[in-house]
Amino acid sequence: MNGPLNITLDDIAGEASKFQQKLGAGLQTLREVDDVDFGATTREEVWRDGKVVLYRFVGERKPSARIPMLICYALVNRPYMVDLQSDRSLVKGLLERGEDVYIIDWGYPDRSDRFLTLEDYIERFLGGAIDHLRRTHGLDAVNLLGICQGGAFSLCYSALNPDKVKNLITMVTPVDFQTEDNMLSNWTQGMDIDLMVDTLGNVPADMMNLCYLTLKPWRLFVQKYVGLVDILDDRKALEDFLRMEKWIFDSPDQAGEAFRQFIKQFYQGNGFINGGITIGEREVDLGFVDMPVLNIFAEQDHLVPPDASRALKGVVGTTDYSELSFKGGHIGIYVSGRAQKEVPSAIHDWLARRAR
Amino acid sequence: MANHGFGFGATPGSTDEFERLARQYWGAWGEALRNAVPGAAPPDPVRMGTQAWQDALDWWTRQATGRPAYDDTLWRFNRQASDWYSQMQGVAAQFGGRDHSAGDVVQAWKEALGGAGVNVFADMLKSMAGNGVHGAEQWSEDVAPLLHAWHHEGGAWLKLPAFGFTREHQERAQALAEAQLEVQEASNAYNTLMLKSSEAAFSVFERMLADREAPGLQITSPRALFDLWVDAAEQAYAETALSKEYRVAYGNLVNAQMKLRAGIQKEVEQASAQLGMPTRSELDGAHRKIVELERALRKLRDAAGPGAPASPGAAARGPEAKAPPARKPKAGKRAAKPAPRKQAAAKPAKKGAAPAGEAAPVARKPARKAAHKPTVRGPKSPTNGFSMSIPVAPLPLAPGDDA
Repeated sequence: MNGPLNITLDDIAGEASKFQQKLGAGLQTLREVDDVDFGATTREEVWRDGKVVLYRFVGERKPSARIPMLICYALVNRPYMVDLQSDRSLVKGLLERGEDVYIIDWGYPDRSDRFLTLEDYIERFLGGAIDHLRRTHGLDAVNLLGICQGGAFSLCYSALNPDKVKNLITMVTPVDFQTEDNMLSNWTQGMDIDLMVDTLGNVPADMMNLCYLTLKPWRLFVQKYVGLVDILDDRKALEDFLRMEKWIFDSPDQAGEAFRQFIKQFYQGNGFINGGITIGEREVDLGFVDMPVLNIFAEQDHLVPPDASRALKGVVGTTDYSELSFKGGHIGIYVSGRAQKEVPSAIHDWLARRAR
Repeated sequence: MANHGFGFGATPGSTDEFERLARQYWGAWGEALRNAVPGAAPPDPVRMGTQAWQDALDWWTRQATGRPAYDDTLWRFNRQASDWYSQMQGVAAQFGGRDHSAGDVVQAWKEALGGAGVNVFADMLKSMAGNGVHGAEQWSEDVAPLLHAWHHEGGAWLKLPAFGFTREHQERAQALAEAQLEVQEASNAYNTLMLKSSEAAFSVFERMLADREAPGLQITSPRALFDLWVDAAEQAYAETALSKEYRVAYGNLVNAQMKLRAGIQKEVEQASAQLGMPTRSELDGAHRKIVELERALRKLRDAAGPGAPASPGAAARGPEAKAPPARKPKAGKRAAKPAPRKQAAAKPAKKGAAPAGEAAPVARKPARKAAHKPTVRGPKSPTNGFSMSIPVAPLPLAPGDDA
């Protein structure tokens, strides 16, 4: 038989039969699945400013690292991605290696946060958390791990306050926001962000969710759900899927002014490369980032293309610059099985060589 | 046909019953297909099978949902598995046991989706709206009945006594109508682009299928055929979504939607104000003031340095605050802003280099390109940075001082 298809009626019936078995088993599995929650590691609140909370993660044993590490996540998603579940937790991996790990939780902005600016997020909240750690640990500087937009914030903070950051790690962090393969950036170039923010106030989470899904609509909104049938008889896999779903759609609204500034200065202005990023009244120059930097990026990242991250090498001031390229995607870099093996040890080993 | 047998006489949610009924359907479907005439138009049993598949999934989804935490996920599964995948099953079934070409398969897929001119991308993007996923277009559709009513009743405004604001009403109504037209035009332009992308996807799909015609490479299941379509669709979509054409169309669409929304919000604000209700502008004004007051207070606190009272009243209870010592740059570190960097090759950073304490003085990297100032549309927002109109509060009085 000629043609690209070699599908017999028995093949179709067989596949349909497997589907129906999975569906049937799925009814039972769904009854057994617990309400999925996230966060594998105990954490305690140590500092707060309004809705923003600094948590310390509590490992099974006391940390051996002298210098604490603060994880700064993006505003656009909830930060518990780094501690999603017990077998997918960057935090757990770091704690097991003796790191003293903190995370800043930005909370859920509401209408009263409409006029928070990047200065509030970077200097007030992130800076406040870092100052708290410096005070309580009796240190001049702490380690900072910034992820995605949180990495951009961390770069800004480090440039403006280099004496307060001992070592800087950036993960899947955009630096050059206008590489040719950056779809999200392409979409923002024609948008009137002033009109958008003046109209919406805070940018709704539902709109952000739609935006991310439309980066790969067929894979993320069609194929993914068809593929759900494969795991309907696997309780653990189904729980993992549902937990990830919960995170994907548990997005905060974006404070209007901060959103305006971020899109205009970073996406439209490409400020890290071209200049023009001002936080408050201070201009950011990555030449002031003179502490050791470890830049980790994902090879198959469709949100932050690898070249967008690699650009850091050419603009950062430090001579102690290292890169780690990870085979995976934007989320896989925290949650994949390979990530659990590679990423925490890479970070810890890099820090250990610089622990003085 | 719909729902015949599913749930009829069965224990609700019974997996055994579901399997028995499903086997019954698939058995009958398979038998009918075996008796179908090869090469003829898709027999009814194929459509029956597709319908049976959708009915089964609908029934299953109704049984499986009920826990709010999972319902959205399961309904998305239902929509995708029953719509897209079941259609692909129907397409695959048409070519069982007969010679065909990649073009035949693509034509059949096109027809399954709606025939010539089907805008599969626009349709798919539209179908994404739901709980947790809501774009500006959905908002426009939601308020369309309201807009229609306003247009319909627009004439009534002209009969209002001429207190002077009728003209403004007319102007706003006109602006709203124009904004609606702009949304329509931008939406048409965007959908036209999506149509081109859909056509491109079918072409890519055909190319990918043609690559599979050799023995050993052929596709052997509807699922694999479906996955190949997804590969093709994503490739075509990515080419479009990264283009300058898309940038313009998408930007125009979003801007038009925002303009319309702003116009509607303005009408609601007008109406709210006339009814004596607090408006969004008033609330925003209050929030802006609070944030700016917080900033001013923090600036004062930071300027007072460590040991400064957290609140103005605390000074009356504690020792007089002293001015903080001037900050000096740390010895051995950079003391001034780096000199403008030149376009010279930078010394490459070494991996695993010695810790910062042992590193040589910072080598500056080449100067960045000339700064591009982003275009500022209209007057700068008053909330960018601190308002200079907020007066600086006087220092609190020490105990015993007269006011």
